[in-house]
Amino acid sequence: MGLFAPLSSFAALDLINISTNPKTPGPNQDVTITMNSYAVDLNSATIIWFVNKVPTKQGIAEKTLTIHTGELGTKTIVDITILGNTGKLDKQIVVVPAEVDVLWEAQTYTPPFYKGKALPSYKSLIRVTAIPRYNGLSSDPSQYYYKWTYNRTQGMGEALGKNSVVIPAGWSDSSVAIAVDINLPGTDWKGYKLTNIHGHEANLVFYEQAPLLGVQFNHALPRKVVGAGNTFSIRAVPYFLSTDNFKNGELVYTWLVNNRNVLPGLDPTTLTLTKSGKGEEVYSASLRIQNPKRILQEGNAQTEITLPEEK
Amino acid sequence: MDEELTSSKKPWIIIGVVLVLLLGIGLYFFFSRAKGGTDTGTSSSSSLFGFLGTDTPRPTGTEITPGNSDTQNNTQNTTPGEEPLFRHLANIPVAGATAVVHDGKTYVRYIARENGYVYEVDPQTGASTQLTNTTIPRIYEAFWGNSGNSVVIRYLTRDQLSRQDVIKTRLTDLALPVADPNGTSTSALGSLTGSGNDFLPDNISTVSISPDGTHLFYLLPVTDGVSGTSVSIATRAAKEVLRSSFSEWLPQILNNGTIILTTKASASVPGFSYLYNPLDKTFSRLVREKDGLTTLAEQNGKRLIYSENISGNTTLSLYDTKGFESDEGDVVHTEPLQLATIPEKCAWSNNSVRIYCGAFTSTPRVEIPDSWYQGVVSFSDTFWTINTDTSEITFLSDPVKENSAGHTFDVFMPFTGGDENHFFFVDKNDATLWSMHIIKSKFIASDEPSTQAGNAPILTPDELKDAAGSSGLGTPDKPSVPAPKK
Repeated sequence: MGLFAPLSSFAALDLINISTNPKTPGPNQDVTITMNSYAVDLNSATIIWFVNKVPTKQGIAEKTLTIHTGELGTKTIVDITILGNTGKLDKQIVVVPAEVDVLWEAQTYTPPFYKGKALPSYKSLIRVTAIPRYNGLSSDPSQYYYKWTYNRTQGMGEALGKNSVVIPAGWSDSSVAIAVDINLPGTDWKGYKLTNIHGHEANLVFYEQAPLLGVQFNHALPRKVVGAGNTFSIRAVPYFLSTDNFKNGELVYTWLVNNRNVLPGLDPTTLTLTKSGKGEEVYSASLRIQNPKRILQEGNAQTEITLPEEK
Repeated sequence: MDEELTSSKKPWIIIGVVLVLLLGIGLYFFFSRAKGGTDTGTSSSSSLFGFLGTDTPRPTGTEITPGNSDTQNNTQNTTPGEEPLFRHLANIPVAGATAVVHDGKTYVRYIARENGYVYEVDPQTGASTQLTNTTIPRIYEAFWGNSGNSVVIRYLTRDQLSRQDVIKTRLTDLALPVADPNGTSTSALGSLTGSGNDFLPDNISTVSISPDGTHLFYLLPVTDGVSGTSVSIATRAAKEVLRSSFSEWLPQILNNGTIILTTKASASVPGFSYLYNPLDKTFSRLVREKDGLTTLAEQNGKRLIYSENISGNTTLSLYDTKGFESDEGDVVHTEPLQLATIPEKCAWSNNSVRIYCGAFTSTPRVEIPDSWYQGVVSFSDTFWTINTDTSEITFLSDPVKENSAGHTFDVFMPFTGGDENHFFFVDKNDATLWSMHIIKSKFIASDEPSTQAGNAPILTPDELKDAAGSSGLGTPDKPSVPAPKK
């Protein structure tokens, strides 16, 4: 979580390794700094810690210190003095909290005016975008160098300014991992973010397509509906099926009305039921949508429409 | 002699009393109908109030209550002269509405979804006037600007080749009906006009209008992401102010031209919200990594309310750009608000201190906000207000308990405005327009600066529990499903 951007300047040879946990701290967060060394016996050394030049901790074998980061754009300077058998050693680490936001958007279908997020379904494509930030404002993303990794091992490219990539989703109810390492060339700024993106099932929902009001997107059709006239039009919305397959007309629509196949018309997402007589008529309508290009993308819906007797 | 006189006067006294009673009953029914705004006829309410000298001038037009006459347009029994708590302002589906003020009085303008006719209704009386008869059928969304004199209309057409939906967006001006020189009401209607180039590009994904109504901002998908354009409503001058490789934003343009950009929400996906400055093209982080995040900023963006999904519960919080001092002395920017709702059910007060909200009293076991957006679930809301300076929460009403008809509301597209005596909203169940009379005496004392500190909450412990969504105040544990269409 967040971007860790330590500026480390060492007063001596890099005999001592300093690490932080978390590796990439954000603002207002506890960070534990730990030292270890194969060359210097830290267990017998007197270690003095200064945080922003204020003595904070001192003692033999005091190899760890926990600090609290400030707001974005602030620095915490930690100076360490090590007094050992071989003499004095000074180290410094500067912790500057920063953040990387990773935003993603699935390239799956949602209807017009939909305020919600398109979710990834089986093998749909997902565009992932990184927004690095080391102060309160985002900075120009083209200035950063990005290295992307998919499912922890597979490289997805690296380049200056490459702040977005397109990856495939996995199975529904499983996650894919996308990680990005970011650095700002010419500086020691580094950032890292790992994001797990969860797959979902596609979702088929029926709405009424009313003659005067249009599609009633605010109100899904329930299991049973009583219509008002001699006809009733159903609009099927295949939430989260891949947009490219939907737009290319590659989906397979299987409409059943009272258990009989009905061939879809020019617009396969719409079914219009029309009464044949004057009495009440009940229609059981169902639809199965399949995506042959991504075979596990599919959705089902059914409803029962009653068209009342004419008075 | 006295007895003779008395006996001779008796019949006249009785006749007089009867006449007075009949006149009183007649006037009572006359006023009741006018108050309720249920007339399908046109002139009774306005002519009577005009006669009494209390009518305020307003645009001429045809006074009607659109749709069928609805004698149940108030959801409670009221005594004559008392304004109902809830009033049905329009009983036809509405695509968008706004508060307008003229002649010192607040009215509501709305556009009918089925034909695009514009109406104006007086929330105090329910008297409605049709303003235009320009027919634009099947409007899905409408956004008002320019003090209610311009409206952005959004509707769908179908591409004949691809059979795909095409979103059309038009920026039109309202040409109000003109009163004749004699000042008498005419039946002439105004129109929605365009300058010939009133169509904005096809397939604009989202639109936002600044609270002061001067600018609109829209997002248009482009090959490599999304383009954002700001348009002056007065001059139609347009300027692209944003290019983003990420496109799934919900924008909210503020009065100073900056734009809140919040990622579209799903219950289990972390969302982010930024303040985008078009001048230096920077994103300031506001709220980040909140599951199911949706936001609503006050008009200048100094504060925003946001909701998130925490362990299946929808919770509302306040984000303040300046921050609050915590007990530990740190500056914190967020503060939880004890209300289970989403910002889409809330409206800010004119002074950006209060919010008025519809709130569900229990979070249904479905994905929120996804299922609500999809129309798969609806809510039965209660009404609340919160002073965001003090976090004090005040219960306003529970419609189920307020009316004998048991009408419930799923609050949608809420707004206040004008004298702020009403909270206006569309009931998502049938897209009709309602008002709730805000009884300010319930909370006005707590807004006095001298009484802010140390004020005890007005709510009872049970009401606080309800506000937090932990029990079902007249609300089923599981969500209601949309009623069959009639």
